[in-house]
Amino acid sequence: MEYVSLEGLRNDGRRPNECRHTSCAFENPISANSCSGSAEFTFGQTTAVAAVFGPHSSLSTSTIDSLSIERLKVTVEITSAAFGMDAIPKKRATNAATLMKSSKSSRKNKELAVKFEQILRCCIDAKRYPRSEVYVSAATINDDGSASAALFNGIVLALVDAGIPMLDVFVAVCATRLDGETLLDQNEVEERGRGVECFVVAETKERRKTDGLQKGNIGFNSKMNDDYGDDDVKRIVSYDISGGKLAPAAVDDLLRACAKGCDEVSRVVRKAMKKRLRKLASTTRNLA
Amino acid sequence: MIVSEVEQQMRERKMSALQSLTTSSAPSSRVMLYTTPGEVVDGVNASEGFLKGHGTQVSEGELRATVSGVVERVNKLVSVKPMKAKYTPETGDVVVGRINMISSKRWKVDINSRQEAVLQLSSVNLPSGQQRRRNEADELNMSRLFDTADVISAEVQSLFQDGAANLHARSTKYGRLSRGVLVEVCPSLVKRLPQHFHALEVAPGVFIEVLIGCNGFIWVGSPGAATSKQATNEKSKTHEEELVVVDKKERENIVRVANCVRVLDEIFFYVTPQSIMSIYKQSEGIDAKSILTSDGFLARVIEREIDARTRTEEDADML
Repeated sequence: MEYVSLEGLRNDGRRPNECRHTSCAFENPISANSCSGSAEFTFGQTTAVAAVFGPHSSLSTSTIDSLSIERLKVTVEITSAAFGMDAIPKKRATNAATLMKSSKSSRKNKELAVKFEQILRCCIDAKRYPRSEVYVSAATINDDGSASAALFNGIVLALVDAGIPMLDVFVAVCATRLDGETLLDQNEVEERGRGVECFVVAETKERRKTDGLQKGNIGFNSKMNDDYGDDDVKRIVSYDISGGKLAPAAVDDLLRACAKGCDEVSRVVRKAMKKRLRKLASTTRNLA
Repeated sequence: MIVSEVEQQMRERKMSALQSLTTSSAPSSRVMLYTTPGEVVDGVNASEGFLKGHGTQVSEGELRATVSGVVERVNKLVSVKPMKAKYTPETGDVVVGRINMISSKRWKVDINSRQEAVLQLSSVNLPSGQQRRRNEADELNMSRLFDTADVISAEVQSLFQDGAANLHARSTKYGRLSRGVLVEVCPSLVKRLPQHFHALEVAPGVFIEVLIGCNGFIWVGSPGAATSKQATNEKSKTHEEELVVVDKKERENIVRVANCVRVLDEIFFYVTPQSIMSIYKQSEGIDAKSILTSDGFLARVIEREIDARTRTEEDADML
């Protein structure tokens, strides 16, 4: 199967470096009432929702580890809605097969949750919240590829909605290498192509032009920065390449495309934040 | 869910009303600055110097926001206040809280902040007003004073190093709340006012008591539910004796006022006695339970607000 046509278009009509339609909303209807912040994020047909509970006091004082005493502890839980996964073929739709499928995806979700916890630890201004913890619950409502990026973005939005201090608006995108091309924000068909996959989280704040050589303030992989003198790539906070081998030039291409994708997503996200602020501020001003 | 045509229309009306509220022109006196995390705070000149307040960080010599919110400036102190956040306690705040746990000589109280508040046994008056004996029996009797899951009113006495609140209830105003309901709203909708205990006159001669806690917990109860503890103090009533039956009419009034508060939270309006009463007056003729569920009612509330605002803006133009 060819993933990029001769005209340079992908099977859903996008160019290789193009994201699907991105949208986000605050207060997802599933969990809006009980939590302190919630959001919904979509890439095309991939939809993820996230809800933040807390911050509240660390529940069990006896099991406090040294980290959570002086910093905010973040716990992430990720689930996938059973109706949101790709349909199970009729032949295999026995009970056992369904169970196997769900256990596999729950292992994947657990891994993802641990990864997100680690990334979020350097994204949140955690020192301001000693002896407290925050619980994040996220779910894939519909998986049409790049679900991990949608989940991460949903979580970041929910944290911002809950008023938890973040060093920046961190956004994530996924990309894959197929047919020797970098495909940004792969959909489900491209995900099944089993190319090398990449998950990137990048900071998106405007930097002054002059400090192009300066390193960011968070857990950078310094080796990477030395190898690639690119401004866009310098913004990358965390990346994860899996599923095969790649030539250095291809990695460079992949990361650069992801960094560009993050910028694009962050524009949508920041716009949504401003809109939300305007809406909330409009109701609370000069009321008798 | 099947939605009737009328409901659909009402929902659209609500949405469009909300939309026009957002676009209605801002008052000229105050320009709001909104920022998102990581953005350089507008109007701050790094060379002139600034003081880093809440919700900000200094990175690369520039002041950047860490939360999505409104910029507030006091001289050189710049802070960003998020629209929705947990309650941040301040000394002197009147709060409503729920007892989470009894530990040695103290209660742990949930006051909707990021840390559990502490109410020490020594900072509580006994209901009878008698002197407390500092013995073991006294400690064992703590649950008779406030038990877990009781809702109490108290004042923030001081703050601990990590931002947790130390409460006191050393006044006859404070203590266990009864004969009412607890409504939780967003803490930023409550402004600090000189008075937090209010008696609303819902009908001539009929009062409902409202205690607006600074932490967004609001107690709505029958008259005397929150304030006049003096009457109960004389006879040193136990918990069971306090459980007076509230008659049906009064219960209805309480629920209606509570729902009015929930409406204010839903449409994100400040919760003040005036705003509660204004919603209450508009809700006349609708039964208490449909105040919350009817989009038509919410639409009317918002439209009235827009009307009021355009009128004040016109008045301002005339002057």
